[in-house]
Amino acid sequence: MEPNPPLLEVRNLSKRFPIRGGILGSLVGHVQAVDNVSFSINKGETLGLVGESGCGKSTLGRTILRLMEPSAGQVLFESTDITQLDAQAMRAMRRKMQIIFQDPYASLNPRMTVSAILEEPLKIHQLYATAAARQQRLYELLGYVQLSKEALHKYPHEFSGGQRQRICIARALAVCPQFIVCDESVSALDVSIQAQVINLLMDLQKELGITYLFIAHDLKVVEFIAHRVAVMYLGKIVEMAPAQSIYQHPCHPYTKALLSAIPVPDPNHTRERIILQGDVPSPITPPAGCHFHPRCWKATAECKTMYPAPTQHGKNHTCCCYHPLHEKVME
Amino acid sequence: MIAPPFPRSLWAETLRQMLQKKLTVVAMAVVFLYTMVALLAHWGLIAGDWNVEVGGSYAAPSIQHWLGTDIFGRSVLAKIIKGTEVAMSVGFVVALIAVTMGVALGALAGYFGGIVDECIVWFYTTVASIPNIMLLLALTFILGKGILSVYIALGMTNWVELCRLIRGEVKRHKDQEYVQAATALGASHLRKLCRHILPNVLHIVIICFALIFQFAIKSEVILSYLGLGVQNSPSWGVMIDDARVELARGIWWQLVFATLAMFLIVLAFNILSDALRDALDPKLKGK
Repeated sequence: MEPNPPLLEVRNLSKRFPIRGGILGSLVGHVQAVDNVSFSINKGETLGLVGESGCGKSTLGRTILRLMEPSAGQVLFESTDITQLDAQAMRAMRRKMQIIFQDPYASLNPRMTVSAILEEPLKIHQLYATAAARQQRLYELLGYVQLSKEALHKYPHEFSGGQRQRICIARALAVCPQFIVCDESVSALDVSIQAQVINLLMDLQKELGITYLFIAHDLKVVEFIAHRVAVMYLGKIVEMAPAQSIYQHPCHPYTKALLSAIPVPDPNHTRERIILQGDVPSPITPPAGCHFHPRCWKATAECKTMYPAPTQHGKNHTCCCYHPLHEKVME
Repeated sequence: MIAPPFPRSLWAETLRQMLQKKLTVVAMAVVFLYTMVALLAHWGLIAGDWNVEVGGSYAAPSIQHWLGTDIFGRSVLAKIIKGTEVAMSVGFVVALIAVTMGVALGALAGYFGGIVDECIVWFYTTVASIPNIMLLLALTFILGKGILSVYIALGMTNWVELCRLIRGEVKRHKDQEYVQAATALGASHLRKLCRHILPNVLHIVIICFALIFQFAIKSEVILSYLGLGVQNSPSWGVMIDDARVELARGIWWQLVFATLAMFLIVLAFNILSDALRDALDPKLKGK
């Protein structure tokens, strides 16, 4: 079913942060935030990326956009390796890929009006020749995110969190991107506002054919919006599958544990609750073998020696585990 | 609460907040008055005749000579007004030099980091390690006496504090999400620095401007007192210096009125910078 090349392909992407210590600031180690990650996203698709805090989700999202330079690996956007582009070419490429951040308070400049905020991308890329045409585009953008025209002359502090996040979405849409990274874009919002923003994102996807990488720590939200889901643990993707498949038949013990943590709005519902022991190990010195083995109830001696290779458990369902919970997932 | 008829920028909000306090309004009025006096004196509209003998030598304050006269029978009032021109111009020019240097170097160091940062930090720690008064003396000796060397010497010794502050603030802001969003949109370094980061640290610049302004006025008086300041023009410092020989003879008016003139403007600037800090610093909001 995939005749076309994917819109975005990530190949063996790694991001390491050096740690300096001592009086002379010598190198004492590395934080391996993203470790040899590969995946691809097709046009018009939403890939959900979930994992605990500090597992490298946001770093991965930012490295894909080169807001941080990757340490190794390739990011292919429409078959162009963007990690090799020079500053000039990268600037042009930024028109095609955008990001929406978690905190709608920190991601808007408090000293600029909404009009200035939304007009900036148009000016940077010289998208419209006249001020009148730019104005027209601003109205169009506000229409997309359901804000009134009066909003243009206001400052960010005059809006609520949900409205601010919609301004952020409008700013990202200004350059007509094909791909948007949503970096925990709804985590900071109230549940009712979350639904509003997610519906907006999904409507925009239908209308404009945008592709999303949707980063979140809330599996419930991801289930709603994502077509496929990737689960990340300590810098590595441990399981990736179509949303339905992963929610019904999680193969990796970690995915199973995450799923068991989703609250169910039914007081009579009883279920198996898996509580993981211990903390996430330090990404400076990750455990040998499978990174998850110190907290895994299925771990054996084998898990401590080598990182498990990805195995297929059904259509597009891959998992890195020696002891998957399901050998074969039936469709 | 009634919604404002039009949206207020943070700056308009700041001004509104400052105008609510009486003391701040008085301080603003004092600064405005001094500025007007300085400008009028500069254009020769008032106190242009400060050099003219108007009465006897050392006449005490009276109806004819409100603030008395000096050794040559010149009006002390006219000298103080002419001295205001010197003080205000020193304050303004020095603050301008110091702020320009501090902001430019601090922003470059904070934004680019790495080797640029190391060079600038090395430069300002070197300047800061020399005792200020020694640097001042050395610079005025090299540049020669006169108002120009006062400008340069005080400007060169007052930018370090601001530079340090700006560097830290820029460092903090450049990793904020709104700057990252600008990066994602393809904004250039110049745009990110000038359109995004600097407007958000401008409040520090304004506060420092007011503080350097009053410090420069005080320093000019000290330099003039030491004989390194303005020449051939009345200055508060020169007047205070004259008082060394006058006081023993009971002539107090030059000293008292020159000191009072300086005291008022320095106090006004201190109140103003406090009010600015209260109104602009988001961390103090509501305290």
